[in-house]
Amino acid sequence: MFGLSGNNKEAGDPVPPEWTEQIRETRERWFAFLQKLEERVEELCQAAIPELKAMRSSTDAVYEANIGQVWSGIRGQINQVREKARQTEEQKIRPFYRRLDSTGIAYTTALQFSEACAERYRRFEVFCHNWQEQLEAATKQDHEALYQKILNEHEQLKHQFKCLQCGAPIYLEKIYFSTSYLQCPACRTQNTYEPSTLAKSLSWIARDLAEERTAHLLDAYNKDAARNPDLYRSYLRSMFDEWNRIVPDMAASNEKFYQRLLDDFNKSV
Amino acid sequence: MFKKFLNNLLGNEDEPQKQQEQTQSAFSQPAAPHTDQDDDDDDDTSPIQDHHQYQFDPQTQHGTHYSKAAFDAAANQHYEGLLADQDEAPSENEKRNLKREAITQLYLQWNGHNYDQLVQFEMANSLELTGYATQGFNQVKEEGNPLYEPIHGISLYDYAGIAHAMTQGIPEATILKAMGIEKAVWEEVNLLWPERMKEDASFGIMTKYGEYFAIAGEHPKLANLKPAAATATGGNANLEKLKTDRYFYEELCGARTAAYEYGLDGAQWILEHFGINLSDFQAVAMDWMTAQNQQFNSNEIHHYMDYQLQKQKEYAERFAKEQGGNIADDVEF
Repeated sequence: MFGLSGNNKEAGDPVPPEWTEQIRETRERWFAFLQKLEERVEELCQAAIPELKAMRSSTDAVYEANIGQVWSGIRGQINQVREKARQTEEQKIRPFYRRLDSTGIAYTTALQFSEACAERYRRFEVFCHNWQEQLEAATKQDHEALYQKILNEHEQLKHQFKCLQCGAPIYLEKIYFSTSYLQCPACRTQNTYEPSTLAKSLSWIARDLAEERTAHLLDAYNKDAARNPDLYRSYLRSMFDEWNRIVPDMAASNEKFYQRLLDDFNKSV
Repeated sequence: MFKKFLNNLLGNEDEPQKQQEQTQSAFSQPAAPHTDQDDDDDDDTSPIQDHHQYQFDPQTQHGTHYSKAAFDAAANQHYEGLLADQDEAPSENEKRNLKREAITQLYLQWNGHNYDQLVQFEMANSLELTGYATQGFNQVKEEGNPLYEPIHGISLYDYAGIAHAMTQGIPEATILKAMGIEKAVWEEVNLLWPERMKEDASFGIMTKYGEYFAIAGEHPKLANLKPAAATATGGNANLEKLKTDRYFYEELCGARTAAYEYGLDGAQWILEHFGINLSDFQAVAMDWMTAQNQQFNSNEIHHYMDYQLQKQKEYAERFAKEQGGNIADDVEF
């Protein structure tokens, strides 16, 4: 009565066979294309991860330029693949959908095609993201293990440093992570003690280590952020307590940083 | 193909390096940076034309056709109105955002709805509007602020100078001798200046550090130290070009990004092919960023971003070719 029956798209008229075939073929080509891209990404990552792990375990350095470069190159390749998928989706899939949409074919058919292709594209992106996470994990320093090495080294060295003037032993009462002046208890000579590269890395990993050890508190806050902002304050205090325990010499400046972060948070709630 | 790529990254194959050396001359003499057409396009869309309608105070970026006191009074009144419309008590940050909204709405009204000018005004007054300092607007006041007191005699300018010299590849011992400090002192300074930066919620120290880094090459105690030898000829000429030719600067930014994406050390690649070390490059980058902030023009920014992306793509294609292609080049739809 109101002309609604004349709307073929809403009525869902049967799709002409030639279009059915084109829809099927385009969708299958898109799926196969993404499958091939995924295979390339997987192949690269499977080969790269053992190499990255080997590089990571071969050094105690917190930042290792070679690892960063290799990781950057692999990430660049994955991004190239993602860009190829994006361009193909833009140049092949979307124009085909627009053609479908403008030919008067049942709207649901065009929509089904679009949603199926978009869903497959989303899975492809998740696939790439998951591999990138695995690659990142392979390059990550094990902070607990590194900290243990630092503690072990300190145990070994703490009675070995001797005064350059009189040879008397100078006890290292704590882990020094920067070059420091130590006074000889016997002759009062000022000695310069230079920590090892391993010990120097303590100040760099301390925050990461503290954050990892208190991550469960941050998770608890994130799950209940809207209702319980005190959970964040509790996390922040615990994280800084942990941080100060690892590097007591930094406690004074850490506390200033804590106060700043706490003030920032208080202004936001 | 992925194995070849991985081998390249891991340095298991010498061939790509040879290819890279063979193509060095092509990189050393980049193509003409832009065409007359580009210039014409810029002129057509430049918002500078709009600036002729109003004059602005170079410090505050307020229009000279009104007084700051009148503006502040009107903005406060507008802010009170916005505040009264709130259903719930706002947090400190929400109040600050409302104040900013009131100020920017009024600014647009009073200054001809020029959005580029608004951005420049916001940057010039960012400390008041957002709580954060912006580079290039002289917002940081060091005098009387304990956060800027020298640490063991090393000022923030000294600290930026030392960092600049180290990035140039000058040995640490040489730098410390020129500064007259011992290693133990330096290492404590190097711990404590970053601590001050973390403490500073306005990011003023980092902003000032950036400004100092840009002029660190003129530090009186360090300027005469010789940086690590550049491997490409014409390093100084390229550095001068980097300072004056924005297209050249954008091209090298694009090349560096592309290099990293292909597993190369981008900074080292720039040093080898153009004789510009990372330190000098970053100092020039600070200058360009400051100039961009001080003469904010969104059309220009987009133009240069597009140019950099285009160059990045060109260099990416070259690097891909040198490395035997990308891993999925042969996969077709």
